[in-house]
Amino acid sequence: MLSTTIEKNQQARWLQLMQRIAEQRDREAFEQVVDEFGGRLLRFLLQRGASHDEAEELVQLCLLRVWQRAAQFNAGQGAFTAWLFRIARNLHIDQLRRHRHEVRGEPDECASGETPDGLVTDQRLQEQVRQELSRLPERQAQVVYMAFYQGKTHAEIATELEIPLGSVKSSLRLAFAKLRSSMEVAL
Amino acid sequence: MTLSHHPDDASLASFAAGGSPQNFACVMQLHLDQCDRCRQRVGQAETLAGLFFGQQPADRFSAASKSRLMAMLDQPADESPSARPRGTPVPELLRDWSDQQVDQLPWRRIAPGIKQVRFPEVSGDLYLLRIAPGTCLPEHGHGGGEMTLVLSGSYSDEIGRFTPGNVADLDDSIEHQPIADRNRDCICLVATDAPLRFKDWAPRLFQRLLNF
Repeated sequence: MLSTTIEKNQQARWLQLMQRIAEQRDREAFEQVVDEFGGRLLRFLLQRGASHDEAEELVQLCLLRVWQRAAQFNAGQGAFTAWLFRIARNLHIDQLRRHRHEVRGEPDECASGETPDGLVTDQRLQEQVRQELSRLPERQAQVVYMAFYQGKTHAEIATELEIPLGSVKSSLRLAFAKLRSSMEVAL
Repeated sequence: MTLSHHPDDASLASFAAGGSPQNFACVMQLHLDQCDRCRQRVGQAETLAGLFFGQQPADRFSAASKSRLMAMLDQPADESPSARPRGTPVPELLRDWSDQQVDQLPWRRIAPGIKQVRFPEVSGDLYLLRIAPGTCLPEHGHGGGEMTLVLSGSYSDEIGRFTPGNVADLDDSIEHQPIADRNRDCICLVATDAPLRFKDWAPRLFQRLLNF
């Protein structure tokens, strides 16, 4: 109950800060976002294999984009953390690509997807998903963490956990189905 | 357009989380461009990934980095296409796919009735297969994952019939023998992360000689 109230307050706080950034170009509001998410973004990118210098540079780029595109954030179409995640993920994929080859292509509307269809996320959703996660069998929870947070491929997960590729896919498929239905209940 | 064969939900979840190999991500991106159902799934997975991200502990973002960031705020935003984070890269040829360009591509014959064009600029194995009408591919299994998107024509196998936009997402437990429908060439985009395992000796020999 207490955690739900805290999350509700946090959610309202991000919305308020983003409004101040978008409408008033409020640096103090932006600093609060930086203080809250700078370290989390850094850890996220380090977990995905970026070097410390690369991760710091990507965090700066990511947060700079929050400042520049604050007006594009639409709370009715997704949670702030999902929006931030997509920006960080795409910047990281772009950086990986620069390390390999340059492939020409138009901006990727879906994967850069700053407006997923009809998703309204709120604190009830967070709580519902958190409960469902705690109910997942250990193997499924492990695969979910490695796939969703660490961004590991199925083959990497299979090697690391020493399980067949098919088991990685079935664990992830089952867990995703449970998490999706918990999201639908919350909406 | 209603599609009946989609990437596995596990593949879509990893695509959303940024954990798909580049070749598989290309195939999924092209399917997503025409599939509302899968776009919705990816949107849900992105929301979940965002929730996990928001609940993880933080490392220390240095004061020096923060100062550099604050000093950048007055710079005008670079809105050029190349400055936008793009996510999944898809070769231009595939993004703007048209049957009219098919004959201009540098097809390489790899077996009777089967030709191939590779995309070396994409990491991992990604290639187009052009299968002549009525041609039967050798029966094969997979050393890893294989994802196939039909671009034109159609084929059938033990799983079903695949028309443009449909995807076969197979793992190492599946063996199949696709047959192109008889009315026209079937052109597919294929991503694999391990060599195919042919049952007969002849395709295995061709595989070694022609590196496919």
